[in-house]
Amino acid sequence: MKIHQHKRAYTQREGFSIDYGREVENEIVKLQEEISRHAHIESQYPSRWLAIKLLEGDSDIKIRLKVLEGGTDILSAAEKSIAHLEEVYGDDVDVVIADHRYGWINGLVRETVKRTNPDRLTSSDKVDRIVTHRLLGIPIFLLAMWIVFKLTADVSAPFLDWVDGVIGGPITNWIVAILGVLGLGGSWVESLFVDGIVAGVGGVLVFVPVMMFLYLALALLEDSGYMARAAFVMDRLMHALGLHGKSFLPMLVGFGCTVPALYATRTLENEKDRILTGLLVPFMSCGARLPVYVLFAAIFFPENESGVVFGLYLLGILTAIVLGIILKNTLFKGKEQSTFVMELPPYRLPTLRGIWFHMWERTSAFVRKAWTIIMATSILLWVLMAIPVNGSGSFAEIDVSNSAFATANEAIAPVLAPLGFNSWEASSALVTGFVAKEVVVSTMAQVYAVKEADAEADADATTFFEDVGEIITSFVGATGDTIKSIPLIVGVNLFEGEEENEPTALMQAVRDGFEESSGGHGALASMAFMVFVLIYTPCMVAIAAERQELGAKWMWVSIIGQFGLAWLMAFVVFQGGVLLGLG
Amino acid sequence: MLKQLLVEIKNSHGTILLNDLSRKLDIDSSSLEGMLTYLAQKGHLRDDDAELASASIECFSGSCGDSCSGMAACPFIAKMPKTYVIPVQSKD
Repeated sequence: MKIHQHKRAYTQREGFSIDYGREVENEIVKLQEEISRHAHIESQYPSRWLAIKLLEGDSDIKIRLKVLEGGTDILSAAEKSIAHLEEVYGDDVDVVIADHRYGWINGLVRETVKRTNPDRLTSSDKVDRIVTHRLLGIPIFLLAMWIVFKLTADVSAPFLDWVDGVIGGPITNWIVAILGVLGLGGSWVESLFVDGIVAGVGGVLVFVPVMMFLYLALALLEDSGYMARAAFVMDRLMHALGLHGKSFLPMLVGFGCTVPALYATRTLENEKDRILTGLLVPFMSCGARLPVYVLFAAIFFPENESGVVFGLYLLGILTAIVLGIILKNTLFKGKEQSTFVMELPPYRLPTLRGIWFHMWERTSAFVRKAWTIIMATSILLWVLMAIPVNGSGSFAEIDVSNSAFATANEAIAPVLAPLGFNSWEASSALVTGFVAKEVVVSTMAQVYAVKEADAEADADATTFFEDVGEIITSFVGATGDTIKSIPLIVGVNLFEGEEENEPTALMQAVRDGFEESSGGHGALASMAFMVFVLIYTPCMVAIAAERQELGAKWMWVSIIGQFGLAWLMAFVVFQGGVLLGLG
Repeated sequence: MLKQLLVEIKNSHGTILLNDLSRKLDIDSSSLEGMLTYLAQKGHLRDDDAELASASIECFSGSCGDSCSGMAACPFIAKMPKTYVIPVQSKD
């Protein structure tokens, strides 16, 4: 693009004016004549400028004129001119004036800017031709998502193991030691800390590396400008399926958190579209569901963790699309499809600072949530698990399966029997998961942690400095393993021949529990469990947002519908899998 | 010019990219951005960014634990492309 220096009087003060068309110019002249009758006003403001400002309805100028002598005469003349012009043009006068201005600007650009590429395609446009291509767009989007989950599930694994080791080992040991010094060793206080807070909060914090890698991948996609293209590609798909294309914008937000995604449905004009999108948004897998997928995929599908996680995210999108088509053709029937202009940002090379900022902001929000909602739930859960029923023991000194919490959840478990997980442990995780999805994992860690704590009790005692040394050396090892994990994205396994990591006591307990409750079909039951977690109510805050945005009626439709659909889909996965002999 | 732009948006079915619109109308994309912003200010179009910002307070009061900083600063909101839509009342 080359800008020529023009010698014309475009920017000269004198002699330069935009022609606003015959009608407007006539009214400007009339107003200038009126202004010229008041010399004190004309001396303050250039008459043409003032006339145009008045025709535009500039409120500041109107206020200033009102207090000047003769100002009201000018204002009433302006009102007459505006009324006349609105009748002529059938539009606001300021829009007519702006229209001429933009016309003049465009003419100026055409005359002064010489384009070296006549088809006006920038580098971003050329990349977009492939990335947003009608046929290639969707496969490229799926490939990007697959890489995200490969990075999230496979590459983060060494750090996940490291955090798990630190929380389950040194940190637990230090807490036990401190409580011992305080004379609380072996008491219910120790149980509250170890089996309640450490197991619950720690069980979720273990997944911080997973979340960090997810947020790293998302930040790369966002900052490079690809995320906006993904929205455009999916928008086109939604349109093709008869859904509102813009529905995908809140849905993309839903991959981070369902709550802002529900508020983002406000960008949809039509109420039907807004409610329909609000009902579909919760099927997008929010970040809080990821720990559940990663835990179960690691236990039951260690060979293909990322594939399972990717499949679940995809299943959420497909469920939303299929359900959307059904609802659009039944309850939300309507032909109206709004048109909109989308402005795609240019592609950029993400900066380290920007990536870190995004990653840190999101991960710290996840960690803060662990210290608030998850800690409160963990403590409440521990109390409920410490209360004996049927005279089976005293407070905090009972087998957890005889607790009030276990007894209450045992009553729910039969409903889940056809889905392959009719244990009180599984039903309790789903019940508490109603509060927030991170709590599913923390509950699992708590209800199975009793066995893990027993196993750890036999571990050799270590000194503080030995623990610190172990933390540092295992961190270095995890960093090395993470680097070695990167080629896994493209299918190259540098760990071949190395000894597989032993499953933790929690993983083994979950596996045993699901194998037992499903009659030996643990993998299928776990898949059904993950599908249930994907489909049912995301969290309490999302329900509050639904009530606010969609109203109480649709909130209940959403809650009941999600539970019904979650049960049905989990049933199909488990029973269908058993029938087909898949696991 | 503004009218021509509005007519073009109304007549196009589905989503239209700003760059495509720029080529179609032979208007520089930066001029077009200014025109869209102006039309949004005048209520002929709706700027969705502004609509999302209005949801900020509600999201804040939604109390996503201590982590909630309102929708305008919600770390979980991905950067979405800017969109302008024709409001329902001005379609006819």
